[in-house]
Amino acid sequence: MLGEPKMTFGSKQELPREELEHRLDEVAERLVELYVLGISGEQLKHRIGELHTDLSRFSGWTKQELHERFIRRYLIYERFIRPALIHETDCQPIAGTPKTACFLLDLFLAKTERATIPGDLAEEFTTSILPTYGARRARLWFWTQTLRTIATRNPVCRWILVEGLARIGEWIFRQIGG
Amino acid sequence: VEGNDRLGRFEELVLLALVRLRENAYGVTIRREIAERTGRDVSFGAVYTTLERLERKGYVSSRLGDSTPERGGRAKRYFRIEAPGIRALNETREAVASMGGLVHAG
Repeated sequence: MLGEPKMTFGSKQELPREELEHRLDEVAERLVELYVLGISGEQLKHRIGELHTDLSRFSGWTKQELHERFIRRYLIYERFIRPALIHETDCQPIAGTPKTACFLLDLFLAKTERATIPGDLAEEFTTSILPTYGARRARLWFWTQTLRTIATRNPVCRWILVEGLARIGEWIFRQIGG
Repeated sequence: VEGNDRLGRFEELVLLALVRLRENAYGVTIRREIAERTGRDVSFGAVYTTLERLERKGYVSSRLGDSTPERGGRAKRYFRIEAPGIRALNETREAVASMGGLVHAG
């Protein structure tokens, strides 16, 4: 379990802005970790309140600025750090599955799908594809499924794909027409 | 089943797979069922996209299940067909059957 975040900044008035920024990053990340690991809403609000008061007093940042910074850190944490933590704690890596493909799935899938879809892929890989086709073809299958899944499940990738195909279609149409 | 609520071909296949699989319908089994019975290689992404659409329409419901070692500790999401889904499926199949009748008559 993580320890309490350090909320005191010592001689804050002497700290340059960069240093304050760095400390804010640290504290925000610790807060997010505590939040994810079950700190109560009231405790979290209290900590954020302390953070706002401390930093806005000495750095001249507004509450809004601090809030935006906190939210940005939170999103980064949710997107990149938490999936990695989940991998380390709850989920064991599947032997033989391409690590990069698993990382891409965690990166591009929505939070609600990060457990189910990679789990389905891993189960199919272990129980059916690997024994039937061997390691090399099974890895290729895993990669193909990963890319197809990301292309259909990630809104940005889907948009790029559709937009790209539309552009190619337009270009072909112009070539034929012109 | 009217207008935009009409089932697409793949939606119909997914719903039929749910009917066949009953309580054991989750990503792997649904995909496998469709692949074995139709010979089509479908991606998990396509299956989940369709299931999500069907869930939005109220045709299916889902719940998180347990995890197993071969899934690396990740949970399964089980799907179940609901009454509106069964109704939509029946109406779509009746529509297809009536069109099939026209082929025989013609």
